[in-house]
Amino acid sequence: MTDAAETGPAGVDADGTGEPERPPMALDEVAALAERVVDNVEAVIVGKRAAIEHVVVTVLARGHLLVEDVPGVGKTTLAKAVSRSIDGSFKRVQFTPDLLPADVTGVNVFNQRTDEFEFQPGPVFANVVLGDEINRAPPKTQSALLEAMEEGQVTTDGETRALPDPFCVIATQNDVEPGQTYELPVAEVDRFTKKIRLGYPSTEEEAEIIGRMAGDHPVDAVEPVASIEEVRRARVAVADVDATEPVREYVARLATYTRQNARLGVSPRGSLALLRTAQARAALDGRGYVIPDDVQTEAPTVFAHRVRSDSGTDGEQVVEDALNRTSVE
Amino acid sequence: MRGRPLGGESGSDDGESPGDGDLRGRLRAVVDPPVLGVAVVTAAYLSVFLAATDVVGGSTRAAVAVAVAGAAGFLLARYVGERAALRLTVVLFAATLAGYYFAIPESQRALFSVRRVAIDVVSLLTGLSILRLALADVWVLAVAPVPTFLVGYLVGRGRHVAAAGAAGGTLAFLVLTGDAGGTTTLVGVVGVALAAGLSTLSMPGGIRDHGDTLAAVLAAMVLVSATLTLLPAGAAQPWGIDRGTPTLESSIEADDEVEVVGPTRLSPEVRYTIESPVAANWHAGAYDTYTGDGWVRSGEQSPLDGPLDGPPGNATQVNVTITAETESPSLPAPWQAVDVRGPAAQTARVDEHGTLRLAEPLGAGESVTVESRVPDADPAALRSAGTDYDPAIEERYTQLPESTPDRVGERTEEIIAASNAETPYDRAVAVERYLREEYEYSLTVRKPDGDVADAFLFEMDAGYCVYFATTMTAMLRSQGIPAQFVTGYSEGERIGEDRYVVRGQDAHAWVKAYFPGHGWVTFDPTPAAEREETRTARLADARAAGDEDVDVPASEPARGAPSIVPEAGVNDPSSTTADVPNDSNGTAATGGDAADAAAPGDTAVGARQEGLTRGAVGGEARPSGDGSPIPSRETVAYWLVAAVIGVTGARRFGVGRRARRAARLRLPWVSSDPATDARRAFADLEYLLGRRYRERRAGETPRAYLDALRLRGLDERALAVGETYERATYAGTVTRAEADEARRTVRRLALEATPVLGRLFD
Repeated sequence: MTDAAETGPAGVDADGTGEPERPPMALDEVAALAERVVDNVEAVIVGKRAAIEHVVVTVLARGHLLVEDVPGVGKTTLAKAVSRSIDGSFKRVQFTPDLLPADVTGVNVFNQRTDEFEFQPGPVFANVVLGDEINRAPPKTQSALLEAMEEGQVTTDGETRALPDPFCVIATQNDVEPGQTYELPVAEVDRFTKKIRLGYPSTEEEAEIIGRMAGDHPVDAVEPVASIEEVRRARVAVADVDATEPVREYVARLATYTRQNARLGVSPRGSLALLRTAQARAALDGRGYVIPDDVQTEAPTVFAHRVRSDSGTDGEQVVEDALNRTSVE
Repeated sequence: MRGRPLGGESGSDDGESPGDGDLRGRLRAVVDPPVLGVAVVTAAYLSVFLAATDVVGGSTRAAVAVAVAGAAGFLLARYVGERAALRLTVVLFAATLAGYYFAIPESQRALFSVRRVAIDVVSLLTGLSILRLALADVWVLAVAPVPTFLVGYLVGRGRHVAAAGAAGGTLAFLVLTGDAGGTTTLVGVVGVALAAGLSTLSMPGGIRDHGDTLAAVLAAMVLVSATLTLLPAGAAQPWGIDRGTPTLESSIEADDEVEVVGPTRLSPEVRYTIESPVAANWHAGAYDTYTGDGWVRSGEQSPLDGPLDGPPGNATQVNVTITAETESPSLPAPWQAVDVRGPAAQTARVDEHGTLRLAEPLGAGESVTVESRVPDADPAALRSAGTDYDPAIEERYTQLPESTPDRVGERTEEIIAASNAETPYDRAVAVERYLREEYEYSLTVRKPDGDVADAFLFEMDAGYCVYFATTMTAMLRSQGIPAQFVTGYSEGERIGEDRYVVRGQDAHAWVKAYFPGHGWVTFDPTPAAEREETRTARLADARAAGDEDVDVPASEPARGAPSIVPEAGVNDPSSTTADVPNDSNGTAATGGDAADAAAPGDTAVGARQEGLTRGAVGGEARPSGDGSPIPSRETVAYWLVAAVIGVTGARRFGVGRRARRAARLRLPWVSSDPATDARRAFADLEYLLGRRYRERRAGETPRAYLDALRLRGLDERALAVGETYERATYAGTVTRAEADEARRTVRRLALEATPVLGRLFD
């Protein structure tokens, strides 16, 4: 498995463009940076620190995030707040049944003044892309976004254009109206590093949320706390976090367990995603090496949506069993 | 049911060519592991049957019949359904029993009735040895093949557990008749367990996975049964039932059977007062069947119907009055008692050996008068008696086990040749004299393995009356002279004219040989003087210890009479009569006693000293007898089995690994590279915490484990060890110093957990 096949935009950038020698950020700085972002977002999203950390981990692990939940629990707010905390470009795509691929990737428009076709970039050209209610669009449109996630580039009319770095897709989907949605195929769900759920806030939290939001929406007031450059350097540092053989074996054993105990188990891409998020988790702790605890923290959100168990539900139970039964060195 | 060719394993044979598949299926049925267990238990009960035929004759015949029956059952398994086979077994059983019925003499057949047969069955099941049945050899021939047929059939059908059950049932029957000894029973039970266990584990891999459990269970069975019987019984009866040291009296007074035992002791209690004009050995019972390690009295009893004829030759008539001082089943009187008078006369019976017996025992203090006709043939008349024996007597009283070694007869011939004896009488006298002169008297002998007569003649140099009498009887029989083994009492202490006190210690065994025209004549091969000495000493000891019941008024010695002074060892006057012998007679029962008695300058004589100086018999040292104990075979076997079960158990529960780890934890270590040391430190810590709190669960990370234990009061120092381990394993960056520190910490924690060792090292 080569890195290039699996990496997102960062990889393309690091390999193909002009800034190969970006100095990695020290790990305690990474931890501090992550903490700043999480604190910043938490000012907006009440009582969801764990979810916010997952988002930050996804960003640092060069992955993409799928948020699934009922409408109105703050999915979009979360994505917005995170992207605003980072001083980068943010675009939002509202997926609807009549949305076309070009609406995502961009179109060539004829400029009468210059007598040329000019590329009008779509919303995908941003550091953080929020794909709202991705399961409302038909598969063709979905796949336009998913291709961008996988390849880190967009091809329109035969011309390939690289996406910015960092590039992170945060997609949301709701699971309350199955009749009017196009469920994401397993192959595409697999491309999301993590899938998280937010869940309803507790009563106290909800009381506080509605209090805060009664006036101006606080998300509009979120100020950036990290620069794009910092995020890039943090991502390089995360990629350097040590994952020794015992940890890699542990990840592989977990994946093997899901394959043996579910109809569809975790792919090697899933294992790689788990290792990367574990690296990011270790970095959040300011630690230069991954320990099994990192893996255990990340496994449920990284593995569960990749497993199809026989009972037809998501693989949460399978992953939980895997964690309980797979021995740790 | 009927259509099924061969249950279980033969089903797969159907596709193969008939002959080939048949053979292979058959072979598979034989090599199935559970067959081993069936074979063991079958061998156990067959050994009992064959031991019986060894005594009564016809062992070859019985072995052939059994083999044929077993093979027939096995072969029939393929062609006969189970119900039909069961019916066949019943028919076979009925047929063989009918054969037995017609084989016994018509005179005895008349005795058969439903009630009679029922009584016989009950008495068989309550310990009547099969040897005492009429025509026991025919009985074995009739009965033994039937269960063997069934076992063969069931093995052929693959019904191993049922086969083991059939064989085990037969063995159980033989246990109830008392013919199967402890070892045989144990072997049989182990066989049944083996068959059941292996049959249960016959699925693929079963034996591999659970074989050690089965082995441990079997070993435990052997060990427990051996422990329960071996330890209390000492070396005397390693695999038998614990009976302590039997008294000589009890060992020869047993109903219809005399088993030759090892060490014995003397009971000084008064049994009878006998008024008799002649002093004689008081005859109580005669035995005809020699089993190699004991005697059996075969045949039936019939009510005494008027006086018996008495011996054929000249005889003196005497009237003897017997007063029982304790309850008594026997009627000790001079040979040959012919009539009984008194209240007990109604229950008098006579057995086939001409012995008068009482159906109801005499109560204490009860008297009975017996009329005896004492043969008074002189040696000259006996010498000329000839050898014209009644065939029935000759056949019955020259019986010897087939396994009796030839050298018994050869040695007897040598003895006879050496004394130029021609007539049966002279021969008997020669044998009697030889035994008296060449062998010592001792109550403490180790029971020999194998044939008692052979062992006594060739391997032992001392014994007591049972050994002497058994050997002489066997020797006479080897020369074709009809002889009986006789038990009873010697004359006892004469306490007045024609009055004798007979004590338990006077119990005796001797020999009678048959002379045509004169009847049974007594011989006593036991050295009389030594025996008398032993008994006198025993009585003196008991009197000195103040025992009651050892005297009747007339027999008490005058005060101040020079009786033997008691000494240490008889220091428990409160003990009952029955207990005293254990304290004072110096048999294997009490080691301390033995030491006392063996002290130099000891004035005690007789049984005490006798028992000790005769400790080594036949070159075999007795464990508590003298200072050079060589463990007996049984003891060695016992410890071997114990070792096997110990090793099996230890392996199963990982004792070795745990012990190594426990030692490594507390002792200074040999270090390797830092990462390995750090890991080992954590492994040790984990072991330590596993003992104190709980073990780490499968999916639990070291960090989560230690965090969880913190809530339960985990020592904070352990966390540092966990951290070091984490870095050693997951970062690969751990220094020598850190690793050493981790190991030191763990060792300190371990030592704190074991305070005693801890003080030693700190």
